[in-house]
Amino acid sequence: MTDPTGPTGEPPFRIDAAALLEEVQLFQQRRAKGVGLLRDLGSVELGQTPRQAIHSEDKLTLYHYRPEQPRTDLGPLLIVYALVNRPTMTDLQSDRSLIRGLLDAGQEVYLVDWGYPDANDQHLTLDDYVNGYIDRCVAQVSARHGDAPINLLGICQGGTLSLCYAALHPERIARLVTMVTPVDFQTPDNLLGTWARGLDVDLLVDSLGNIPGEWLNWVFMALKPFRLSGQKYVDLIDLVDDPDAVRNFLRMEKWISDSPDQAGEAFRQFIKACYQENALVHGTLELGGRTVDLGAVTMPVLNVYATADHLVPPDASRALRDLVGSDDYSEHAFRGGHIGIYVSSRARKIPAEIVDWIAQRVGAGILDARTHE
Amino acid sequence: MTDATNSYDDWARTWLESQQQAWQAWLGGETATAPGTDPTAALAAWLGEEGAALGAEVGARLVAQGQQFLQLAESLGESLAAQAQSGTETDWQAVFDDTFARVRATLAPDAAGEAHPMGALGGLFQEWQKVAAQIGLPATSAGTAEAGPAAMAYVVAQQAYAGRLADIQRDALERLQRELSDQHASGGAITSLRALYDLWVDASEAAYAEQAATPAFVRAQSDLAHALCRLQPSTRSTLDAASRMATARSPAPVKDRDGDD
Repeated sequence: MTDPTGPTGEPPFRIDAAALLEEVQLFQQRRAKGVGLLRDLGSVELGQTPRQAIHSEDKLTLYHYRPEQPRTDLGPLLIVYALVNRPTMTDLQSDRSLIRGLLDAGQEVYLVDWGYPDANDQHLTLDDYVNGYIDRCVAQVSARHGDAPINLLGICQGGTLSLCYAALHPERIARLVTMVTPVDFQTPDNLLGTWARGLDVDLLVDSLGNIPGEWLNWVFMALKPFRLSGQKYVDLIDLVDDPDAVRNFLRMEKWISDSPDQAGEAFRQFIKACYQENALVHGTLELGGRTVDLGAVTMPVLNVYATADHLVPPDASRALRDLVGSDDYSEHAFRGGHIGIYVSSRARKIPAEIVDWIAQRVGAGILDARTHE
Repeated sequence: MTDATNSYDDWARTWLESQQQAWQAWLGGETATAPGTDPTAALAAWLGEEGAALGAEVGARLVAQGQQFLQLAESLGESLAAQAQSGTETDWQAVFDDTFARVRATLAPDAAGEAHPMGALGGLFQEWQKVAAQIGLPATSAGTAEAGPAAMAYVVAQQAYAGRLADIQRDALERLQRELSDQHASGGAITSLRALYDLWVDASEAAYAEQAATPAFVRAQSDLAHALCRLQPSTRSTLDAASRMATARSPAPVKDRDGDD
């Protein structure tokens, strides 16, 4: 018979019936309190930083955020978010906002809001997004700032699209920042990549047209189902004494549930070219008849990645180092996950670090870009 | 706004008081059957029209996932209650083994050999079925000849995927047992149900991460998605015949693409 006690003579469980009852009662009480609080909190809003829509086409809107104390030396910064999920993650709440942090550091900000694709958009291609929409947004921003090259910040898939743009139009970009951006889509630790390689994306897109946001939400949840669909809600018990904390939790839930459909053709191309062929790494991605060569990204590059990112593993981002042509390539490792890089308390210093990086290169980036004219 | 006679606090207090009494009686050996801990149905009735709001939706998830946590308490409680009723000093190894046997029993295939993932993976499976329904595809579990070969293939794919999830759950349980044994051997101990639950989540995610990257799992998951998509053509053909609008196959209306396959 197995010794029921360990080296200290203690049993493996120190939970007697009384302790179990007490813990269950407390859990039930806090669960009940949490449900009541959630019901009574009402609605929560995201993306509350004041902004102005300055351009729109199709489902896209380009927003302008003006800092209270602008630094005129930096030039404008255009944020390109992923097509997946909503850019409200960059402005989740007042104390968890990449945009507010940038504004507080004096950076003038523009943001591409892709909107919600519908059946009319199902034939949009990656070329339409990169050489169409992004190019026109860059032109809009540049025209407001003396037609000079601008700073570009790409987030996740938006970073991949931004890299493509910077490679094809280096003369338009002064400095490039990528955040949690996949470049090598076939690193061994990339579960999402493994799943994507098993997908018949032609069947998906030919059957469905646009890819439903609900489906993508399910896939992301399926990457860590126990934490994301189970433990996360059990842990909510720990917050029920703090309505503000519960409100913050609700904001995250609202963002997660706000998932646009993906334009079918662009989705097909992205999965095939990036996940299945790893075309960025191999230099075989073509957009608009031109090959995307990351060697043509010669402006200063800051690559911010998250060390515990299960969606874009660090190596998937760090692969950029050996691919870009820039001789001013920097990395910043954020200790956290794919979402924590925007909403955790540790993330609050990232906007200032980005602005400092830009400020240190004012002048140098413009010079580099001009050499490609 | 709640009225004084039907406030959430009133409901919660009544529920908690009844729970306290039932658990005390059961753990003290006064009753033989475990008390139910699931307030979902009662809470859903009370939430009523509030169910559509995000807060109420998250509250429902809190209730449901809290239920998973409490089912762990039930399994452990059943073992402790059996010990109490035997009148003997607590044999922790027996409690340990009995708890896991009870949990393992809930993961076994049913009499028809069908797997039914539980807990978080059961939730994942249910969410998949909601996604299929939201997409508007005729997700069916009928599996009858009348449903057609594509529908039957989808049912088969669903079951294969469910089987993979159930395998992961059994592996997770074994990992948890090993982790507890390792902790025990090094002098550690679990001092709360929450600690046990968190350890189970860690073990489950480790089991999932290992299996989810295997070719067999990838194939099962992909097959499920593909089978769902193959249900589409019959639906699309019906829509094409009934309307003259653009569809996923072609932006051209039906009249301009007669003769297309």
